[in-house]
Amino acid sequence: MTDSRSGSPASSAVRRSVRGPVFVHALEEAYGKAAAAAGTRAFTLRIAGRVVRLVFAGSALVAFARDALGSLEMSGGSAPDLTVNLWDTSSTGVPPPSAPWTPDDLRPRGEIRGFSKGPVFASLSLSGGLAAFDETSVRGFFWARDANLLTIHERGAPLLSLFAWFFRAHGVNLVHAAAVGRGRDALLLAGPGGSGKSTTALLCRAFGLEHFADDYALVSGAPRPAVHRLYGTAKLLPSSPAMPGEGDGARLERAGSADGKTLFLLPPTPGGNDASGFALRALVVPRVAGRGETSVSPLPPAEAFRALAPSTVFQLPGAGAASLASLAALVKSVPCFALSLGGDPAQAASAVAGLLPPA
Amino acid sequence: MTDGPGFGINTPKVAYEAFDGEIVAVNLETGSYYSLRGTAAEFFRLAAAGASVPEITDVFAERHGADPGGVREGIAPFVDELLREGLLVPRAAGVSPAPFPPLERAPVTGPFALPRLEKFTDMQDLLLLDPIHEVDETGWPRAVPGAPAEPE
Repeated sequence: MTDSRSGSPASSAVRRSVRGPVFVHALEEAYGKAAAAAGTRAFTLRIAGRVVRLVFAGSALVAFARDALGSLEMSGGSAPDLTVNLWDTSSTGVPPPSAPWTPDDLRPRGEIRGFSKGPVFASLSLSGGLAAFDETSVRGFFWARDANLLTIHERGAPLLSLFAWFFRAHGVNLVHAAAVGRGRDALLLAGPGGSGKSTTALLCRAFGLEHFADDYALVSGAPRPAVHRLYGTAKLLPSSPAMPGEGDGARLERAGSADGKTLFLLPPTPGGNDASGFALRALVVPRVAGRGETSVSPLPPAEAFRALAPSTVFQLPGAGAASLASLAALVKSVPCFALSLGGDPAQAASAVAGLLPPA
Repeated sequence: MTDGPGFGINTPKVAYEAFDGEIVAVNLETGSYYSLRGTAAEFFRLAAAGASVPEITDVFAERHGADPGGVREGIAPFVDELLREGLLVPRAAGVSPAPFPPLERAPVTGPFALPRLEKFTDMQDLLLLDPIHEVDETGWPRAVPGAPAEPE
């Protein structure tokens, strides 16, 4: 007889294989009650060529998702590749099901032991909500206690974990990077917070380049990688020289995050949501020098990897060796550059534009 | 330092990627990541493949034309550091060593240089962005208003 309390890998696998589907069923039931209580709303997105349908119980979370993802909205009745059901307790009165974990199972990055390797993934968000994804049924769930408690980070990048899990299974990686481009060509701007990637990306936008991503982009297909749009948002410190002003179409969503940043909703930009995306031409690692001339120099792939990979995997629940291997393949497939940001903001945009093929 | 049967990468807590001239290792539990170049990268490749310290000492002594005793003394603190940082773990006694590929017999460009581990800790804050502060009676975390910082 097998002792279900044993700590062997085999028994852990058995527990996981049972606990995951049971939890998914409980989420389906809870969502169903919320939908019955509050009615449903829905809209459909095309992201990196995949059709993603978001179905909401009630309306409290609709703006949360639509603000950042609205430019990817599509019409028509295509069958979804991924369906996500969203509800909150505050407006529907329906709580989440009993948590199938103990406090000891809760890990950094919002990870939940037993739910980070599939086929059922789950993680907790900064505001204490839940994202869950069932690989088998290709269905996701998002639950929030109260839409008003969602943080700026969550509003700027809704359903981040869900998208990472779903797209990883399709060979598309979610990376922590900004992206800009021209025509069908794109560059990634990688680096940790404070390295200047958001500022550089918005300066490029003001310079006439397209702004594809502020913090997170989807990247497919090394050795010929392509960038795909995801969120139409940007976060900046008030001191940034790239703060959007009146008349450029950006809408201030919410000020005063814990790190002092302000969230902007950028005006919808058509395109960039098909499977081909934008051809990735280079990976750029900005660093704020603060004075002198802005300059560009070649960067060894290992240094580019150090700028891109740790900050990506440490933000995504369940990301590990496989994600690092994908990111290593990515940086080895394109030229990498260091961008030293001097005192003149306009030089940054010009330097980045010079790394793209001519229009 | 151990003279035991060799080492292994501390998986799944640690993952690494090799580039020309550099290995980048990531400790997924602590948030630290590391750069290893030159003899540090050579050591890591060999140790990851299961080589023991005496075996690595011999390889280094041959490649760099160095005195084995000096090499062994020179790499001892580095080995201790790799173990302390949790990048490598001693392989259990009785486990057969895996065959490791010989390093390229590239021309030696200079004397044996002490291996060095470059450590980066700027990502640890992301792991500390733990949304879980309190858990209610149903097992769900209570949100603590204003408590969590946010990734940048």
